[in-house]
Amino acid sequence: MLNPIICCLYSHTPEGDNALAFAADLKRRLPGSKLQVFLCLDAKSQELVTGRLGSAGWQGQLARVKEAVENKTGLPAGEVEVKQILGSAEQAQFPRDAIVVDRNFTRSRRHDVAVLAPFDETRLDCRGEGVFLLPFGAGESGMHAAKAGLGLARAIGKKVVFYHTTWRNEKLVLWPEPADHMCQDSRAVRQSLEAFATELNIPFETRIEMANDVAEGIVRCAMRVRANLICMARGVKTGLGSYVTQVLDQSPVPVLVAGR
Amino acid sequence: MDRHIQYVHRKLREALRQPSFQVMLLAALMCAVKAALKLGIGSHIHSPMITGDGSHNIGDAIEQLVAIVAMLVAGLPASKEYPFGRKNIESFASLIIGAGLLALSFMFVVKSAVGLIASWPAMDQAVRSVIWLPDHQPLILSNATFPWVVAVTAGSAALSLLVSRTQIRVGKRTKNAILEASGTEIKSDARIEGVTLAGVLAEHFLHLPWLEYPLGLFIAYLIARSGWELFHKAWRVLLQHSIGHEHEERIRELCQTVPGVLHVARLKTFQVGQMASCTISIHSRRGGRTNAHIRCGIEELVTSYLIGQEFTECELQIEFHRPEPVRSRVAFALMRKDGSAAIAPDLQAATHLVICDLEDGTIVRTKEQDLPPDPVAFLVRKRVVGLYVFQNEKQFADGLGASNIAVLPATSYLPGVMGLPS
Repeated sequence: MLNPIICCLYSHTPEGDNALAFAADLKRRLPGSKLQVFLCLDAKSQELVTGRLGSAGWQGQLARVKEAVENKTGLPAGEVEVKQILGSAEQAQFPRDAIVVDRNFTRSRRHDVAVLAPFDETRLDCRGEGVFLLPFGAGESGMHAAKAGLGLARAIGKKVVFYHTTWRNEKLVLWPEPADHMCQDSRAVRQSLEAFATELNIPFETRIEMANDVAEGIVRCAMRVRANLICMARGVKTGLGSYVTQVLDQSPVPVLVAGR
Repeated sequence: MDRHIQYVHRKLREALRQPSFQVMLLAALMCAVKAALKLGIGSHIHSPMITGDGSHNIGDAIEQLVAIVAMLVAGLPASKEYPFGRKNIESFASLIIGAGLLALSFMFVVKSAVGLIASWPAMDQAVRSVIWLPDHQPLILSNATFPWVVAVTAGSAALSLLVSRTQIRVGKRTKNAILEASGTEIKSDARIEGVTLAGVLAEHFLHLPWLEYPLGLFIAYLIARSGWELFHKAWRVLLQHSIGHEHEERIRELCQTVPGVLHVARLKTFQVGQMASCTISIHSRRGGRTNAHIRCGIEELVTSYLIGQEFTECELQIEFHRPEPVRSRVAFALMRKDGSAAIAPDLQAATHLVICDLEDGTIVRTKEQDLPPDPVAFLVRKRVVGLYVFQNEKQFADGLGASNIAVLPATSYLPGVMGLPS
C-alpha cells in the first residue's frame, strides 16, 4: 500500500461526482498515489459514433471527460489519468493494489480488487477526524482486511480500532467480560492483528462485544468510535448472508472491501 | 394516590440513608439556625445588613427543603398523565424563592437607603416630603453586642464554607446536580457573610457606623442577583424556553459530524427540571436500518454533550426525512442503429429523443420517443429545460435559442455514462 492507485469509474451523475470527489481526496492523502478514471466503452456505441464522427468522437469524449474530471477534482492534468477501456467495468483490468471507489461496484462479482463504497461522503474526514474500524471474526478474512486497512491507515496516519463481536459461551454465563467468551480461533486472529499493528507502528485499540447482530454491531461500533472507514474482506467460504454485504447495505460510514 | 403516598414513604426511608439527602438536611438545618441567629441579633441592633443576610438564609433554608421535596417528587416515575415525569416541581419552587429574594432585596435597599439619607437631615426631610419612607432606626453596635455580632457573622461564614464544600464534593461523587447547585449557592452565601463580617469589623474599629448602609445596599444587590438568577432560570424552564442558542448550535454541529446526515432540518429544545428534551429532524437519503444506525450515532454524541453541560439527563426525539428534491426535466438527443445507442452530435443526427425527469440531478424517469418532425416544438411542449448533445453545442444553439431550451454538452456519447439506463 505504498503507492496505491485510486480508481474511479466515470459517470456523469451525482453519485459519480461523489465517488470522484472521494477518490480525489484519497489520492491527495496518499503521497505518490495516482488517480485513474476509467471510461468503459461499449463496442457498438463506439462503432456508431465512429461511423458518424470518425476518430473525433472518442478523442472528443476523452478530452471532455479529462476536462470534467480536472474541474470536479481540482487536480492538475498530470495527476489524473483518464483511460478508455472497451467492455464493462466487470471486465476491466484494474492495476494491482488498486482501490476502486464506486458504490455500485461493491455489488459486482469482482473480488480481485479492493472496492470502496463512499455512500454520501465526499471526503474521508468530512465528518471530522476519525479512526479506521477493522472488524474481525474467527476466519482469515479479518487478517486479509487488515492487510489492506492497516496499510491505508499507516499511509494516511489513522488510528485503528479492531472490533469483534462474540457469541455468548453458555459455560461462562457468569463471566461478564465479552473477551472471555471468544473462541480460540478468534483469540488467535486478535493476537495476529495486534502484532501486525504493533509491527507497523500503528496506534490501535481492540473492542470486544456481545452484540445481538454482527453487522449491526459493526456499524454501531463505527458510529460510536466515529470511524471514517470500515475495512472488511469477504470470507472465501461464506455462502449466504455475508457480513460484508450486510454492512454495505446498512452502513452510512464508507466501507472498503479488500480484494483477493 | 395510595401508590404515590407509598412511593414517597419508601423514597423517604431510602433517602434518609443516602449521603446526598443527609447533607441536604444538614444544610437546611444550618441555614435555619443561621437565619434565626442573624434575624435576632440584626433586629436587636437595628442592622439592615445583618437582618438582610438573615432573611436571605431563610430563603436558603426553604430552598434546601424544597430541593429535598423536589428530589423526591421529581423521582416519581413518568406516567400517561405526566409523560415527562414531575421534574418541573423544582422550577416552581425556584420561581417562588427567586421572587421572594427579589422582594427581600427591595426591602433592604429601602432600609439601607433610609439609613444613608438619615446621615443628612436636610436631605432626609426633603425626600420624606415627596415620598413615604419607613422610620429610621439607628444602629446599636455597642461593646457588649460586638462580640456576639462577630461570633454570629464569622461563625456563619465558616459554616457556610464547610457545608458548601461538603455538598459540592458529595454532589460530584453521587452525580447529583441539585446537591452540587445547592453547594454552589451556599458558597455564594459565604461571600455575602464575608462582606457582612468585614462591615461589622470596619464599623467597630474605624468608628464608621454609616458604613452599614452602603454595605447593606451591596448585600441587597447580591441577594437580588441570586434571586433573579433563580427566577429567570425557572421562568425559562416553565415557559419551555429553548435550552439556549449556544447549546442548539453545538447540537446542530454534532449532528453534522454523523455520517449519513445531510443536514439538520429542524431542532426544537426545551428543559424539564434538569432534563433537556430535544426534537431533531434530520434529512438523510438513506432509509430503514441505516437511519437506525445514524440515530444511534446522534444519540451517542448529543447525549454525552448535554450530560457534560448543566443537564442530568436528556430525551431525544429524532425523526428522519428525505429532503424534498430539486426537480427538473431534460432531454437527450439519441441515435440508435441495430440495437446500439449513442448520444447524437446534433438534432439532425438524432433518431430518438429521451425525455428525463431529474431529482437532484439524478435521472429518475425516462421516456424515449422517435424524433418528431418538429423536435424543438416537442421539447417546448414537454417543458424540457435542457437538451444534451455530444458535439459542439454552439453549432446549433441558435436553432433552440428562441425556445429558451439550453443546449447542454454531454461529456460522453455513452448513454450509461450519462446516467441513462443501458
